[in-house]
Amino acid sequence: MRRIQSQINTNSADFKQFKEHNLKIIAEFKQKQHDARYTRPDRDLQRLKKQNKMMPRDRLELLLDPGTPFLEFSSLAANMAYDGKVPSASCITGIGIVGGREVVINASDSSVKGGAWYPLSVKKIVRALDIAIENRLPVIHMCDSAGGFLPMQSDLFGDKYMAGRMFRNQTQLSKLGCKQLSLVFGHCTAGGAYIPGLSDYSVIVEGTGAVFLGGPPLVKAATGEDVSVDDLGGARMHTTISGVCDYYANNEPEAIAIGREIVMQWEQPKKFDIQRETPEDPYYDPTDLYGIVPDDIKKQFDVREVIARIVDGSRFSEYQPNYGETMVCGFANIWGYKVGILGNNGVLFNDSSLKAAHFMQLCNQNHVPLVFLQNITGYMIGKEYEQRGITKDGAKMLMVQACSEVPKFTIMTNGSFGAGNYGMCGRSFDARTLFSWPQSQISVMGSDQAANTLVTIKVAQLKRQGMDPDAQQLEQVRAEVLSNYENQTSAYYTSSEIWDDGIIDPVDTRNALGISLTASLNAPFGDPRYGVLRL
Amino acid sequence: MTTETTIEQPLFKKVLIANRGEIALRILRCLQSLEIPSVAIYHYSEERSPLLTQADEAIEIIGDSPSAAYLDVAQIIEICQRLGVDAVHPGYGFLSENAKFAVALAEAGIQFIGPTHQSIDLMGDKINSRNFVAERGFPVPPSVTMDADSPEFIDAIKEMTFPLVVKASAGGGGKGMSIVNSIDELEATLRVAASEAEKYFGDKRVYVERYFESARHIEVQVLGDGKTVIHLGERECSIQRRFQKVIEEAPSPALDQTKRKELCEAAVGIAQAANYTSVGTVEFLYTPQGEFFFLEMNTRIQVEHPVTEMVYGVDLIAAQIKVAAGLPLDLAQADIVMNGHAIECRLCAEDAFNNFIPETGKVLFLKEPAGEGIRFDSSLYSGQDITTSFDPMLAKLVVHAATREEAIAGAIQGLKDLVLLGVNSNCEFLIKVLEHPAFLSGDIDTGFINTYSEDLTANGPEKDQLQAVLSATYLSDRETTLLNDATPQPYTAIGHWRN
Amino acid sequence: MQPKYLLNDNSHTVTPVRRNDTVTLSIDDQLVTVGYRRLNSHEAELTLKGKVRTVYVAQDEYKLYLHLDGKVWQLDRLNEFSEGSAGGASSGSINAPMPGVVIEIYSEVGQTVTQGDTVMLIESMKLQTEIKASISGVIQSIGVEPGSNFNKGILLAEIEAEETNTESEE
Repeated sequence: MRRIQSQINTNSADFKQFKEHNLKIIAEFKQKQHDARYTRPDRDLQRLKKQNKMMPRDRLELLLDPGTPFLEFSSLAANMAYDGKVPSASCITGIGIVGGREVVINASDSSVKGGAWYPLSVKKIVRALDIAIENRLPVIHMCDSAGGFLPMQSDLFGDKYMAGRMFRNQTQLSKLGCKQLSLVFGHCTAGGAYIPGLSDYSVIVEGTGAVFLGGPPLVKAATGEDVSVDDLGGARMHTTISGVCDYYANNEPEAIAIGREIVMQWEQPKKFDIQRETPEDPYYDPTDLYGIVPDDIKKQFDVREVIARIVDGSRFSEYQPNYGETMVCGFANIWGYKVGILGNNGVLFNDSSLKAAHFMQLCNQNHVPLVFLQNITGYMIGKEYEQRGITKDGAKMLMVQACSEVPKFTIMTNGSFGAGNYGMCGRSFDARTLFSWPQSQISVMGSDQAANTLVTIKVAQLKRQGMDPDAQQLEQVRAEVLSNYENQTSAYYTSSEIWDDGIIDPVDTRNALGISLTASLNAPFGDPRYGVLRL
Repeated sequence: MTTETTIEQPLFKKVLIANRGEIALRILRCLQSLEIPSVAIYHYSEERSPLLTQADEAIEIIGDSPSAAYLDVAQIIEICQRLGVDAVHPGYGFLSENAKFAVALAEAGIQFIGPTHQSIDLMGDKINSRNFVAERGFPVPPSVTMDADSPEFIDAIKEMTFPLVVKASAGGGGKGMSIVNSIDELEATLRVAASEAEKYFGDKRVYVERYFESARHIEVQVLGDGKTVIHLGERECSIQRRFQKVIEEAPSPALDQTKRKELCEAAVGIAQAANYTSVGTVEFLYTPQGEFFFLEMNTRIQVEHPVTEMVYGVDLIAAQIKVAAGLPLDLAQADIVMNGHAIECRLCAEDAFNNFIPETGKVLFLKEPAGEGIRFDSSLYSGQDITTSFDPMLAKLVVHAATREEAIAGAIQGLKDLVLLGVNSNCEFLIKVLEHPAFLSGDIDTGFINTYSEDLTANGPEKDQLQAVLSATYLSDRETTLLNDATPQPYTAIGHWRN
Repeated sequence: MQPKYLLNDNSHTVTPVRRNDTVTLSIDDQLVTVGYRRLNSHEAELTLKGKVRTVYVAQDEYKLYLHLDGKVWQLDRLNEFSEGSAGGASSGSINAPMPGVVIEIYSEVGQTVTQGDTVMLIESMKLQTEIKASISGVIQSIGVEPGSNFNKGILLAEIEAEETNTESEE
């Protein structure tokens, strides 16, 4: 496989300017992430301390194998919701290594609102369990949640993908043979009780851990019975009388140690065997990415330069290098695993769409997972392209992509606009993981076009109401619309709403993909099979 | 090493080894070289000892405690009779200086491989042997041997120069010895010593001797056949802890030829006076002024006999067996030629840096040192439980070289090459002693370990060494290795990473 | 879980950071890169800062022994279960300070003893040591009998503290 010959001059004015611009963005991202993880009102910290509870992230670090990675999902979930008061949507999810086994972690963050479930918390947990299902991964639940946030119960309870889905997913996981372990650090009340209840193994901590369908006040109100927390659902009771929990722990570190011992007894799953080489670091420095991605979303860059900073040895076997050139396709290895990469070098034309569809078929036949590097403004429009059937060709690409049996992974590297988002495996198309770079944007169309369209509509509205806005008013309307639009197209909004699995620093892309890929091999690949292609 | 004679008829029909550990194996090797059939005895706690598989026969002995089993005269004699054993080698310790055992064997028509029971009796009692030697004009340390209850006893002691050492008359091996620095301590020490003597030896008689703080312990190896007694030079055994030898060497760096001759001839004289048969050791105190005093005579093979064997090229145990079989000495004093220098280090399961507290454990891995001039006498085996049932001595490293300096260097290297994992030993301590400038210069006495206790402490690791130790520990740790092996790639290659 | 090892009463943290052909470890918060080649179950070759050492290793549960630079090193892996969950307060448990044999026992179960009273006499290395009551209280159990051999650390006796004299302050 040949090494990509980078055309980047790291001494160029552009490179330096882009780098400066992007480093600012990264610093801002890291700060937001740090705050979401660690900045808490003193009151909450004191409360945990008083309860003799560890900080959720300390528990996590104790649980994970030292010297192994943790791929955290959606660290900025809910960052633009609930006035920013529910950082990370009050839970920590991700893929990590415990006792040498890959597991999905679902940990309540009791330092946020007592770990209460907000609508986005539910969405984040359901997504984590979906990831476990799709990749056949075991799950460790670290339970310390106050339960559903009552004032918002209508947004988190009744619908198909709301709270019930967590438990539904637990059952499906079990049915698939994916083990689940609950470490009960806090109260698991009502529905929450089903998390340990539906787990194969559970450990409960003396004093702070409790599991019951109704807590003492509810019991008192319902039946008049006076009962203590310990007698109703404490560690001693559940491990000696009810059998709801399996292991009794004196304290949190011991619970974690017992949990690790349990996990080490699990069978080591056989991974789906795909082509693999000895991993090799990229030849080109991944931090160059900061100088490659431009300071303006409208400026073009060569996706091969990005590929060269993600794949093993910066080697890339490009497919149809001279055909449909706005769609770059080819084979490479990431952390040793063979992948097929699709990256955008411009708008999708008929030929580039057909090339992508054909390339994805090759990958499916060869059991090669797909990586999408999205930087797409959409499919080409206009009379010529419509006449050449751009809709047919786009549909072929969509059909093949959506029906692919190999695992897919998507990185939002820059723009993701219109139907290009679909073709390049956007959120709706079941990428096993989807991560966004911090400056990336998602919307149905570019913000300038969208703002212009929205301003036109607004002006028409005002005129119908008999008003005639002057140029200044028009500009004001336009600025307002643009600001709102940009807010909602930003990666932060995307991540807040959990349209992705989190924002990542571009230099982390290789590891994020490496872990996602390795995890995906726990589920077998199906044989290629597609719907009807409009030929 | 062995004196080569053609043996047509084995010297004995069958010899029982009434001992365990390294000396039992050592005796077994000797019996094999003499083509004498062997019987080993063992307590079940040692049933995996290599002795069992290597001896021609192995019989289990039982006892209330493991050491009691090896002391059970009736049981051992019963085994001898049952198996047709016609001689018993007692090794050292256990029954080796038990006259009653020798008598009981004689009554059963079995040869005791050692001196006559009369010699044992005479030399085994320290007060008697001391008086015996003194009467024949050999120097003994100033001492009071009268009955401690007698009214003159304290008065006689008041005449003496302190410090003093109180010893049990029936004692040996450092047991029941204590130092008295002033008259005030005397009474209490005597009482304790008497009660200990009673407990260990069933004989509460003690005596008091002047204690020479800077004297050396030098002993002479003798060998007699009832008619002739010859000597095989001396051994310097001044490096002691708790009156027990730790490092021994031959020859002594303190003696010149004249002094050596004087001392060795005195030893021969004493042995001859006792009409001594078999191997024996005459122990002396040697003062910085060049005086020597008789301490005691050990009527058995000594732990440290290999240093003599290596310097003089004589197999002392073979010689002992031949004499026991009634053969005359096949060596004359003129045949005994000193060659080079030998050092023995006793490897003990103990925390030498913490008052020599015994250590227990299991031998998990053993790699014996080997090479030119290196002899490693041991019966250690992988999986062996090291308990406090027996003496803490695990093995002996003996190194022979042309000069003392080379022998010391060889011993240090041997100790560094020795790998014994699973039970803590005094190995590092031994290296510290050997490397000590005072030891190197030969300026040693029985107070050496106390005098230089500040130098003889454990070194903490240097920074690089600590990192090496911790890295190797982590990377060999079964638990972390299992975890690493279980972890699918590329997770450990990615390593610690957070997004 | 961070592996921790005890060497000469000092606790050291060894955390793996990365493992490729070489291993990067964080030892007491300092990064160290080592090469480690296992030659057989007890022998390995360790490369650190350009120096190659032969290492012999053996392990008995939490006790690790290694021979390196001509010396044996004994380390204990700190048990994850004991951390944080160890029992507190001044204990009435008397554990054997060294291996040895019991000579005589002066107390019996149920007897009230005062701190410093001799509970039993043990012998180790031909030296007798008096084992004294660690606290005042009632003897709950005696774990050995006269003549029995014991290893370092075993429970010789257990005393339950008296709770009566709480007023008297010293």
